[in-house]
Amino acid sequence: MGALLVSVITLTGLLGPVLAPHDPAEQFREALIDPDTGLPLGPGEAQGHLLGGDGPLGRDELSRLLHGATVSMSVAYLATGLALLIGVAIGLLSGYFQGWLDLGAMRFVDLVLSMPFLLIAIVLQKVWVVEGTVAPLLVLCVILGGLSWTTLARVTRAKTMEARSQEYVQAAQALGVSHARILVRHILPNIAGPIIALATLMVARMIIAESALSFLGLGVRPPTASWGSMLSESESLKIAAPHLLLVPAALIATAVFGFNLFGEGLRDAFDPKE
Amino acid sequence: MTPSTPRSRRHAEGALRRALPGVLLTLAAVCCGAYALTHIPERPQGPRYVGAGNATPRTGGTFVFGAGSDLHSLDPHIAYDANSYMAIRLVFDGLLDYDEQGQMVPSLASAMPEVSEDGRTFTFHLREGVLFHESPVFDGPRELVAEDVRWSLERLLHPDTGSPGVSFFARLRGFDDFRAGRTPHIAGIDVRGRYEVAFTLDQADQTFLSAMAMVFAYPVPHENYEHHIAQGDPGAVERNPVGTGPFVFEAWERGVQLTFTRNKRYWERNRPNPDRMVLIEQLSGETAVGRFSNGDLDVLTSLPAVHYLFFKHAPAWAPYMAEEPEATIRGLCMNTGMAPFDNVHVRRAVAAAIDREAMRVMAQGRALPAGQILPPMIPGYDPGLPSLQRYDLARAQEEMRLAGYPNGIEEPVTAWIGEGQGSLVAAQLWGANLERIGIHVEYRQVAFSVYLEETGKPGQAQLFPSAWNMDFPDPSNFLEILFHSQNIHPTASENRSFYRNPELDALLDQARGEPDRERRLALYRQANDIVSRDAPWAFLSNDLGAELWQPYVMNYRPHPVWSNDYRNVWLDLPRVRVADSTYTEGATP
Repeated sequence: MGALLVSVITLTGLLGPVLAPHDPAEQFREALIDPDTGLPLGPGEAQGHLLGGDGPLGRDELSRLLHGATVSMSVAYLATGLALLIGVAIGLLSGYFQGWLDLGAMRFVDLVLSMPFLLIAIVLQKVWVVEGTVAPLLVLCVILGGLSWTTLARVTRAKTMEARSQEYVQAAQALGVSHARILVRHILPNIAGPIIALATLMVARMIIAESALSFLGLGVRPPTASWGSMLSESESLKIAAPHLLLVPAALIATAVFGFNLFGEGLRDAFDPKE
Repeated sequence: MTPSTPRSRRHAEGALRRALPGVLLTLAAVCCGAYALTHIPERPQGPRYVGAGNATPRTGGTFVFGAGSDLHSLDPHIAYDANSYMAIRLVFDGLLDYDEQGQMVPSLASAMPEVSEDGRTFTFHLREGVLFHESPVFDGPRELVAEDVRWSLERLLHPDTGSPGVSFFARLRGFDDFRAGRTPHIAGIDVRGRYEVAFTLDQADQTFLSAMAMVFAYPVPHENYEHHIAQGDPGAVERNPVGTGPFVFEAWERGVQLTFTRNKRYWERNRPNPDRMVLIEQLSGETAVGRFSNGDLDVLTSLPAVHYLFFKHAPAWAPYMAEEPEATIRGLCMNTGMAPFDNVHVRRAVAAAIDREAMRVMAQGRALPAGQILPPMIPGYDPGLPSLQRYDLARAQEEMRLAGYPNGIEEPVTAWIGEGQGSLVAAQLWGANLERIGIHVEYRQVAFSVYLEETGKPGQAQLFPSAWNMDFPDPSNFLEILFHSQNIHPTASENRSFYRNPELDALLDQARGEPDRERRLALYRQANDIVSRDAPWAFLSNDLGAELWQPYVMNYRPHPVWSNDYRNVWLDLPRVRVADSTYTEGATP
């Protein structure tokens, strides 16, 4: 069930821009705004716009949700990918070589863990995005990925240490295989299971984190839509048009639920105790 | 789980069992959400409480009102924001004030001042027997005298005070010498008796009386300041105001509320007023609406869109709601010292490209389309102004062609906007309008204090939404302060479009001294025309203010000059609870 949800949502993310009937930034004020109230028309009230308008600007809600899926998904995947890259590399090296390298790496993990996530996110966002030097989506990925690889590093390190003392690694070492080859060809495939499971769970966390940052205005830049930014944009309309809040919220919840389910399934499948 | 279960089934069971609580929780949440949505408790269609029906004004009760943020200061010399004025106007009086029609009237002055032939000397006679509030800083009853007026103005204008209101009094004789510390007193202030004081100006200035009606000029007792200096905490005077006004300051719990009690010795005898006034800080949005609907708040001044629509369409509230245009102009300020807005054609294109009607709709009709700097109620407003400041896409494109950008401007323009979702949404509206004439806008959203600071520096911000709320109802307070080149400074400029036009400067200088009202207004109309044509701003809208009050709040109408001014209200007590069923029968929202 988790796998199903994950594939549906990932597919939506991939195909969102293709499926979207309109440009998510285009304003259809005549078609989607009630001239008396200035509020958007709801689902089914406007021809050619299945879910109606998104707010006072009168953009197509469906198109924004679909494009938002792409943004939310790609940020979640990219950030997780970045975290995997850093976390696994550090975990492998420190678990395998141990000694000073291990000590240093783990203290570095502690250091990163002690950093106030939101504060750093705000500072980096202000410095990079407001100064206009880096694309905002990239910044978001770097912030999210760069600060959340620590668990991965610890798990990888523990698993590597475990694998290091196994006979097949000792055999490889005895045969004179290079460290790099041992790490990549012998250890990594054997510890990949729990890492993949953890990474899947992490995607769920990333979706939430992206939504939270976008909700706080630290995520994507308008008029780009992500599910989180759509939540924050419709917050003031919660009484008049609750669906604008509920639909993206439900999508976030479903995606997170799906990834969690999938991740837990993977973990169980890889669990040697089973 | 029994050991005999086959592995695959066991596995599926495990996953399901783990997922089950999640699934159930999600289902429950969805059900709760759906229930909440379909069963939102009906909000009462009308007021919860009404008055007892007393026709004659009466004294007593507690009046509760709110300010959208924290108050800044209670020192009339320092405060320069509408929230602080809500409290200051209860505690202090001015020599001059405005009546309900917005006409200037004497208040602490016994009559309008005598003006000399040359328009440069103004003689005020004070009302006799006006007492300051009881306070430990006085030895006994303390009467307001002409000397207090002089002391107050000199403190206001003293460089150590750091008042933002100094420039309004710059034409007083001896102003520069006093500011430079060369003289202990201002030569142009002459105390001629216990109740008589005269002001002499270097140049005729028709706005001097308006300046004297500003909160900055409200008389304060020197004992209060000396007391706090002697206590070693001169800043405490901002939290302990002593004035002559209809209410005595009682306490200020910072960030929470301020309380005031009725001044039983007020000079205007037999004045009906509540016994207590409570001003709640940081009260706005949903919280304010909720309290007001419950009857815990007596007036409601800031209305989120959805609630505004509700009250507007609730007939039971109609008698207690006022919608009145405010003397506020909103627009897009273009930095005329920076490309591409140094080109008048680009500015005109922007002014013609913005769909003001769409803005009106987006604000539920609360943004009245505007095409000139002066709001309609300000003298000098020109309904027949052949304005270029009107939505006309074809003309906007034509101006872009004249500017030399037939295909648009390649380099994006950076627009500085303040914090909040609302300003971002509004910016995307005009941003999309500018996109259509080939101006690509990038938004730079910063904290409001940063916005204020940076937009006041030349060569910093290209484009930004701007609003101006008048200090006093006179065209000079719009045209001169926003477009005269003397108001361009290295920091904190009032002229934030950095517009320089010697012809306009000369017109404005002449108008300020012109004694004949008609000739003066004609000069301002001319200036208005120049500014509309040269378009340092794209003028967009005037605010339509919406306010509500409870049925038992009497003698309140929005004031044409002061916002949220409650010094004249009285309460029709006891208030009576209305049955909730009253409005449901036959009432159509």
